[in-house]
Amino acid sequence: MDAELVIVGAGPAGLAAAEIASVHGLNVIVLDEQTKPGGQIFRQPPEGFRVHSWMPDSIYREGKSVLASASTRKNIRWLLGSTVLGTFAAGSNGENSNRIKVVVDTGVLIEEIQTEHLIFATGCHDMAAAFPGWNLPGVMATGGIQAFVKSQQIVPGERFLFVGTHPLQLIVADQVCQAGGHVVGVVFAQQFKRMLSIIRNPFTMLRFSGKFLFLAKTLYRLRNAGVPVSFQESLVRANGDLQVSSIDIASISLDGIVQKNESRRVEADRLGVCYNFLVSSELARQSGAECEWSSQAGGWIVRHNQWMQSSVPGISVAGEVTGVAGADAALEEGRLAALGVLLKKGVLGSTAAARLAEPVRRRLSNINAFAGLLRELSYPGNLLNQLLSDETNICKCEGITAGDIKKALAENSCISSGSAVKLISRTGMGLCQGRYCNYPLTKAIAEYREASENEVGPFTAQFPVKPVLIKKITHKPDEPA
Amino acid sequence: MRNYDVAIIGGGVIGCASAYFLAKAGVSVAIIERGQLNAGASGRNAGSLHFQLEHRLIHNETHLKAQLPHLIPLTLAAIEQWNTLEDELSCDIGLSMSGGVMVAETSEQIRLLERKAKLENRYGLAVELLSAEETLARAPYLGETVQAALYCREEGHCNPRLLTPAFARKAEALGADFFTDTAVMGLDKVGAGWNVSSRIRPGEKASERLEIRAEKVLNASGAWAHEIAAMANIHLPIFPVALMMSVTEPVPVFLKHMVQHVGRKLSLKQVEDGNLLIGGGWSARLQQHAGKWISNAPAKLSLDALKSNLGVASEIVPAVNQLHLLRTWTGITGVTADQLPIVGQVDQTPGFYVAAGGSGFTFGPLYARLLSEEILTGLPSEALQPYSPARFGHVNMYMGN
Repeated sequence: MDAELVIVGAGPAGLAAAEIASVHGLNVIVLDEQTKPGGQIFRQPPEGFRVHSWMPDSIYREGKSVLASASTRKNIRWLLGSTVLGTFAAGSNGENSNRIKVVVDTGVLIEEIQTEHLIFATGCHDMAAAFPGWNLPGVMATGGIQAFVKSQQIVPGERFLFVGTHPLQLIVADQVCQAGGHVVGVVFAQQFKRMLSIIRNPFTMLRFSGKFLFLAKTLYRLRNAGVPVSFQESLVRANGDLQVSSIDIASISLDGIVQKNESRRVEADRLGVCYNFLVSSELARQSGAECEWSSQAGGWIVRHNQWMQSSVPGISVAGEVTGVAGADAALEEGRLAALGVLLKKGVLGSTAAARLAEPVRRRLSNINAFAGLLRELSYPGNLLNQLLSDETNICKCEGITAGDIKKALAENSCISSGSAVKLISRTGMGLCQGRYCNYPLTKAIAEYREASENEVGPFTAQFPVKPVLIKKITHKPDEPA
Repeated sequence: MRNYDVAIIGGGVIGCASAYFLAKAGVSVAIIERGQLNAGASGRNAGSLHFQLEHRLIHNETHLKAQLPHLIPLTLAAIEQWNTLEDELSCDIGLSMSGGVMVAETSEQIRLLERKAKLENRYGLAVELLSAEETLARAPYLGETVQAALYCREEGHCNPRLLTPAFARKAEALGADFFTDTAVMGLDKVGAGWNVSSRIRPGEKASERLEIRAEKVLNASGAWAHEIAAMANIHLPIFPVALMMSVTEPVPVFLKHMVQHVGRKLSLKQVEDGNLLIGGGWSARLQQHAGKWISNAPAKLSLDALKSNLGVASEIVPAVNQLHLLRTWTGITGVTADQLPIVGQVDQTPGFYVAAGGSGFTFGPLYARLLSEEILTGLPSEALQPYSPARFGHVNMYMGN
């Protein structure tokens, strides 16, 4: 199988790229793990579900229209429910070949797709903050709770508490309320004053009025529903035997220290945690794309040029994977990446490409200004380090604790890179391949060794980026599956 | 300028183990490693302890007959050392010596096993040829195509994640100095010793120089030992080769042996944590730039080789097919012109030692111990004699100092 352009990820970035590329006549294959396009943000109800007035808010309007438009294009082939495992150079000698082999687990078999142009629009995922009790059933990523509510109107629990630093928790708390759930509180680590100080700048307010209006409306609805929203507080631990039953919350002093000894207890059976998002850059890294560290924008983000091309010829990136900036930025980056591909293929001349890119870049720069503010506002700083105790698992898959990591660093004075710590400690060697622990581990090593995160470096991302049944790989084409 | 008795180049198992044996004898040692410790083949191989002659060594039988009288005494010494290594290092290195089977699927392969068994037993390595029934009784996880197996009681595996760091910690505690992220740029023979010039964090703007004066230099830089040798004006016939290894998800222990194949490329074992490690010498591809190997770049994985490797593994141990592949990685090891390791002092450059090439994980700790003795006493080791660089003396006739 081959295509002129392969796009991995059918979220806003992937959809926008697919729409532009297909309008200009390219044959495009779009791959996604979900069974429907839309990504996390425009998560569609599954087959057989009818959701009354799906995602009605106006901020979702543009994304929904791109989704609708891309869905009708004839020259886009959708390979949904498919997991991309990695890429290889298609030629026998990688350097002399400009074709890329994309290896895909389609569910039953492994398929290989060849292309000269690939866009990774692989998005981001919730940061799984590690704290005592984080592996109790009932502790969820707030984004995960949203996924249930958004696509299926399912309220996955009785009493919800949301803690974190990201304004998304207001939106999800509101969505849970509207779907009939009971929210017992929303807890922000930031001072309300600091949040206001960013928003209070009249210029900022004016420029991003739509966003703030949306947040203000949400806050208003929550207050009306009697949901307490508190600031300058942090979770300390989640308690429970078989599942979470209560959460200890403590205030944060003015110098940022969690007052763990003076905690209050909140009864809840669902804890939504939302501190930040981590980019899903493992496919880009497995393909050899250079990354750089950003604590605020999601960890190991992929480097790119003005046409969203990565350091690997033929591979572009778009959306959250370049740094978490939200769906609007992802749409624009997807468009830019597609224009870059069209330019490189010669479908567009440089003047035409620049002309089409100009308004996209203008909008993107505006959106990025807001995304920067939001990142600054929601960055938890060293708060998460304070939540770790030596017994807390950093790597859930392999059961490696923060204390194990400190011990490994103390005993092995020469070891300072992320991959070397992974090797000696097994952190990141489990089923998730470091998707969740690479971020806290990078920060832990950097802090312990007093080095920069870029010196520590990411885990080497290996094929397959997600586990695959060996039978699918050893299967011979002439045998039945 | 810092002064040491011995400068060791390379922070893999041979370098770190040599540092330990030398430091233990009271010698001052510096280890210079261009990346992180254990980041090369020592930490990337599949951890097999091969005591039977491996697939790659028995490919050429004439060759085999010539090598056996030398290899088996060394193997016996290695077995003895592995038996005491956990005590010596006083930590867990994931060592398991619960036996290994080398399987055969055809009558021709069985005949090869028979001849191999005869030779190995004659020279003192106890191996037992098992019939199809005996094989299945002892290793019920093997597939139906297995017709026979050669069983070696001492074979097994050790965890490559843990072995080299354990040696490094011991060496450091005994006073060895480690310089990591430090690349050797030049070796100069001055007087009776060597000036070793290095760069700390060579890729960065703030890179600093490190100047070391050492009486002796040990080149333990593995696949790239020829590059370090060139700095001493010496040719070493060591060639980098890239291989791949894979690991599966963990499952309850069902496979207690190290499994090899006499006619196909396979090594398979289950580690303490329950994961299966699959290897056996399947190729990856070294990266090139302008027609030259890039010595610092990771090798590229080949999908076809991965399919073949997993294919062989799942034919010999059918349960493999039902497992999830977690990850596949590549590593670069060195092979020599005659497949045997090169261990000893280079005649043309007194004070310049090398230990590289050939079953470096199974035999690395032994090479390190024997060569350290040679460095300490100045007397060539009897057991290492067949592996001396002198056998390639002809390529260095016009080289050296």
